[in-house]
Amino acid sequence: MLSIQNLHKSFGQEKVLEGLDIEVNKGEFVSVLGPSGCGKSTLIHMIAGLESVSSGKILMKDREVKAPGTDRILVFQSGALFPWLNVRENIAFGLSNVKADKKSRDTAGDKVRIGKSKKHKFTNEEKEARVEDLMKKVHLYQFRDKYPHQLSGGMKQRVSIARSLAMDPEVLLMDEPFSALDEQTKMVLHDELQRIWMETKKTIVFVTHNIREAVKLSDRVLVMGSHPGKIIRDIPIPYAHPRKVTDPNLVEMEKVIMESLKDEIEKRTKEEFGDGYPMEESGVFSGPDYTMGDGI
Amino acid sequence: MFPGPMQVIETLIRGFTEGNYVPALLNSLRRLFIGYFISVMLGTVIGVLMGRFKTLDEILGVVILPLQSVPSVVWLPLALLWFSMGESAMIFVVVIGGLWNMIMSTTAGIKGVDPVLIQCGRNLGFGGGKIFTKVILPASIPSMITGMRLAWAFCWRALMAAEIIGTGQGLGQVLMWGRDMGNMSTVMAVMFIIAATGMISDGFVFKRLENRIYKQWGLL
Ligand SMILES: Nc1ncnc2c1ncn2[C@@H]1O[C@H](COP(=O)(O)OP(=O)(O)O)[C@@H](O)[C@H]1O
Ligand SMILES: [Mg+2]
Repeated sequence: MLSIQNLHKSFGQEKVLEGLDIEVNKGEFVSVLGPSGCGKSTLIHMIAGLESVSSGKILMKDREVKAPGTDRILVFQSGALFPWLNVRENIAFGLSNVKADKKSRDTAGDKVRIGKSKKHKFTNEEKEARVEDLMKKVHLYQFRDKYPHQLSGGMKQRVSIARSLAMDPEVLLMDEPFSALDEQTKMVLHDELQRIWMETKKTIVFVTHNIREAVKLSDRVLVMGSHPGKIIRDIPIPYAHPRKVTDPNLVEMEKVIMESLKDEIEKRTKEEFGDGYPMEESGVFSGPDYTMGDGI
Repeated sequence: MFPGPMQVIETLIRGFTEGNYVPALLNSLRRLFIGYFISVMLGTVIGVLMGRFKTLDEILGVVILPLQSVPSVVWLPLALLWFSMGESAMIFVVVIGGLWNMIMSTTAGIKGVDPVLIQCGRNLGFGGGKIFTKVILPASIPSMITGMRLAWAFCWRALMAAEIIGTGQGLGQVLMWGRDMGNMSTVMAVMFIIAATGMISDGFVFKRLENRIYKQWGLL
């Protein structure tokens, strides 16, 4: 579905990404896990077509990505809701740029005439039906007339997810969508995203710096190193969904990933604190804390 | 030298009931509304164009800065020569009064749009023109409202200056008439009306609107 081949990116002199190779299959949930500043946002913006490629290729269904397209929709870290539109209008915002298919005609019910071509422009009824369906899916139906400033952080992110799903993209891209939320909200949204993913069978590329989040949600975790950014491990998480974070298998996976990041963290710590930092005594790897998810 | 507050209040009441304060105020407000309307429209159009086209922004930006420091009433003699009609000349001064602020606020608003919102619009399938009308313009509304508030205040000041110098039946003329008569309480009463009109419109209309918009846009 999505194929990234020997991808490089530099900003001026600074090499940000070096030689990335990534394959994402249809229906797969793939996480890209790495410390902040390693180039995750840059990577996902490039997939979205919002950032240019320095060298290498990004192929979407064998076609090279050169510009934004409604087959790849990104959920921004900040939510990026339009403050002058209410929940309903935000979710409907991009619908005029995509074609409706049979599915949306069915949900619009008998208000829509049958006999049109398979793909067509959204009618107003179809738009309404799809938006309503999504508002229910993310449990925001009762807030449909509220404006972003009246919503909590978690609700905003749900609107943002619904707005992206409304476009029915081939690949849903998510750039640390939950990183600004508190732990409890985060856990609720993890379950919600997992459920949505299982229902819609969407292909998802999910960027995060949170190990626990990656392990809970993904089929596969790509661990990134930094300076310059590259994929250092590709770790399958072969457990059935839905998952519980307390599942001992997942806790074990978290340890494996933490271990694979050990060198990376050591390198970064030295960069930031100099050689004198006592890695072993500091408890970075020994305490129970790192399994809490925010280890890096 | 100064009239007492009771005397000013008495003059005010009498001016509104028997005197010419009502037609004078209405005359001034009419000029203000016409001038302000043109000022905001013109300022928005020029501001939007400057926000969109970099070269225009650079050229006009250089011109506007010095123009902005010219008190707008300074334009009155020129306007009188151009229009030969006192009424149009005064409205012209009012237009100039609010224009620079409206232009600068609009341009600043357009240039200051959160780039993430623009990326988000592109991501959802919109291109150039649509990005402008559906994202950039609405996103710059708060800044434009600020421009409208400032323009209102500056138009009001410009009008009073123009009326004091110019002709016609407005508050400014009543003020000058009071001065010519040596009637201090009339002068004070009109100053009071001018201050109250400015304060009420700013506090009750513009400040409220601005607060609401800034809050909704998450800027407060
Ligand atoms: N537009 C840009 N211009 C210059 N440098 C950039 C730009 N965007 C990102 N960078 C740099 O690229 C690196 C990776 O940034 P980013 O992709 O945001 O990392 P992450 O999302 O993993 O935190 C950082 O060092 C950042 O300073
Ligand atoms: Mg980032």
